[in-house]
Amino acid sequence: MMKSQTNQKELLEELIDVFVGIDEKIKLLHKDSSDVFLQLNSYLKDYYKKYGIITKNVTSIFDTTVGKKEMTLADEFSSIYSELKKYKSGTEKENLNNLNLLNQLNSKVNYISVMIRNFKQELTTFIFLATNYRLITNNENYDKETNNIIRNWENLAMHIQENLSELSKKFNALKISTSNLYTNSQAFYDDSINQIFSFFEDLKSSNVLISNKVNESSDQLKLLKDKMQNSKSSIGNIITHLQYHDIIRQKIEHIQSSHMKIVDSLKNVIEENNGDNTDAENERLALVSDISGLQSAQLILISKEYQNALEVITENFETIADDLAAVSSKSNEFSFEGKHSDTTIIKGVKTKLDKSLLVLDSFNLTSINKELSELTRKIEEVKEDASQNIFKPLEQFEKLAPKEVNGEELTNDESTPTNILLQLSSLARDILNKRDDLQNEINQTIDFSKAIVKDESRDEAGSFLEKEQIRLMVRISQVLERLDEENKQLDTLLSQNDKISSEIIKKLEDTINEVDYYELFENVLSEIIQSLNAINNQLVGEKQSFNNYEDIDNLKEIEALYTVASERIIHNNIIQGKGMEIEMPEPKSQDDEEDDLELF
Amino acid sequence: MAKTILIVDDSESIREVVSFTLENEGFDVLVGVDGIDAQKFLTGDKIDLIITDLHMPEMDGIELIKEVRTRPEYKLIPILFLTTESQTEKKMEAKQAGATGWIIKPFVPAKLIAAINKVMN
Repeated sequence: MMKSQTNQKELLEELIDVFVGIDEKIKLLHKDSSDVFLQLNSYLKDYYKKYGIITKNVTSIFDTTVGKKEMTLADEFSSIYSELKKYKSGTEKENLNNLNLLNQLNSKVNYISVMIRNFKQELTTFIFLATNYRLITNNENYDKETNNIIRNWENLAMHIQENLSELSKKFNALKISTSNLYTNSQAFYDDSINQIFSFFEDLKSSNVLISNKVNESSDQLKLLKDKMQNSKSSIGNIITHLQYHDIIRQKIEHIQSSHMKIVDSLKNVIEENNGDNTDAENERLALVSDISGLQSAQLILISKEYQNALEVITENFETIADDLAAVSSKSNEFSFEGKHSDTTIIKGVKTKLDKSLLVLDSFNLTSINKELSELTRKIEEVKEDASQNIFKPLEQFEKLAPKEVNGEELTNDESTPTNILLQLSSLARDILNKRDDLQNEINQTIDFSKAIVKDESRDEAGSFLEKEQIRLMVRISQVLERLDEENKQLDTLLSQNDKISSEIIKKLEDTINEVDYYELFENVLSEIIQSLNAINNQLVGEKQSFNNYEDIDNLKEIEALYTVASERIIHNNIIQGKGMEIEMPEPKSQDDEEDDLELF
Repeated sequence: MAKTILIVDDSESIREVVSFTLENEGFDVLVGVDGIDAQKFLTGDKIDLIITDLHMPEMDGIELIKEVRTRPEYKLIPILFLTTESQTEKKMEAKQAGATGWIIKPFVPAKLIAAINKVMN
């Protein structure tokens, strides 16, 4: 049935309006989908930046925790541990040795005190005999000169005896000092060794922890490497699917171009024929119908491609976010002492080494050695005192021995002056012999005390252990300095990773919000498809009255616009009457065999 | 020293993803929006590779290749097409114009890099 001229013109104008309306909507879609893709593109750059930072941080966290520097923390720690072990056993040995020597020194000082007491005893006897001699010979029958000599001799003996009492007091004081030093040293060594033992056990546990972490690190690193590789693959997928922006753009542009052609063509028909029903008009309407159907099919595929691209992109952003958050969390977890610990290994080790430094510092061998030196100085002082006040007067005492006694012999009457003189002379010899013994003993004691203070390894810088202690303290301080620096770095890395993980989660929400726009796209697209289908359906009815319908040739011009393989597939499906349901092409995998690459 | 790659494409998103992919692999990237625009980089400075789209306004990829091949300093540099087009006739046309290879969009980054390294070596 033929339509009236007016109706035909109205139909053409109506079609033009519909196509212009569709074109406006397509322009809007084009713009908005571009905005979405470009926004996703910028998100990708941001994710990649964060991926780079987290990768770098994770490597640094592992390097810092198990070490990949010149000397790893584990090696460093193990070396310090073994040096401390040597130092500990050296200290214990020295402790035993020093206590033994102090004990011996104490015995020697005791022995000297006994010698002084005996010496005083001899002098008392001497003074008694001398007094006795003087009383017997204090008359005209005896030589006055000898009496005077004996008096001087007696006086000298009394003087020496008084000095011996002073010396005895000093030796008693020395005895107390030696005994105190022994007790103090024993307590000091016991305390220090206990403390060394305690931190030594602490360090041992840290050493075990570090070794375990080193062993664990290869598995952890493999896991993290897999995650990072997974993220890289996700980034690849996103890049691949972001390109659908360009593919969809081209397809939309082709639809726009064909719409422009249709609109121009319909306008021409109106202008040229003023709405008369002609064959040309019928052909145009048939073409409009075919193109509408064809473009519906193209738009359905565009919609699917758009949906698929955004789904893949979103899924991969989610995968990246999950992987990066897992990597960040795993690496953070790795750097801590235990699962529920809030102390990093570095911080734990640092605290223990700090403690060891304090213990070493409190283990003041210098102070013990100073006390020993002080004791030696006191013994020398006493020796000097003995030399001035005992041994020098005793030289005089030796010279005062009366010459008359020589050649005389003891008689039966012991109380005779001659006999007393002989006894005095003999006693004086004993006293002088004891003097030599006392002098030797004091000298030996001084040498002995000096030997305690000055061991063979001692030089201006101190004993071997003192030097070892200082060396260890310097080394630990250097390690602590390094740990301090690393601890700060680790804290920065951990907090940066935490921050980035939070940002990634936030960014993921933004990404998903952007993709939510798909619903709007789908709705508008659906409206366009409905409009096109309506035109198609309407014109399919009209088409029955048309003559000279050339359905395929009229579409050649449209086919020439295509630049994407899927456009041509749909085109062929439609013109061959295979329907509008199009199978989505398989999405490209990052691992597919080369099929889209050809080198000439 | 980083190698320089000139990419020519009228699509902003493609320029973005290709630049992103190449820069992350350590290449220096020059960007042209079509054949005419790309010629501003053909100044004699070293370019190690050109990646171009086929369909572009002003000057398309085939014309650009022909122009590049007329210049002695760029006569031998590899040129890859990166396009949605997959028709054999177009590929043959590109080959005759002097293209080195043909990659169909959407590309997979790892494969693009592998192809680039292959043609540059």
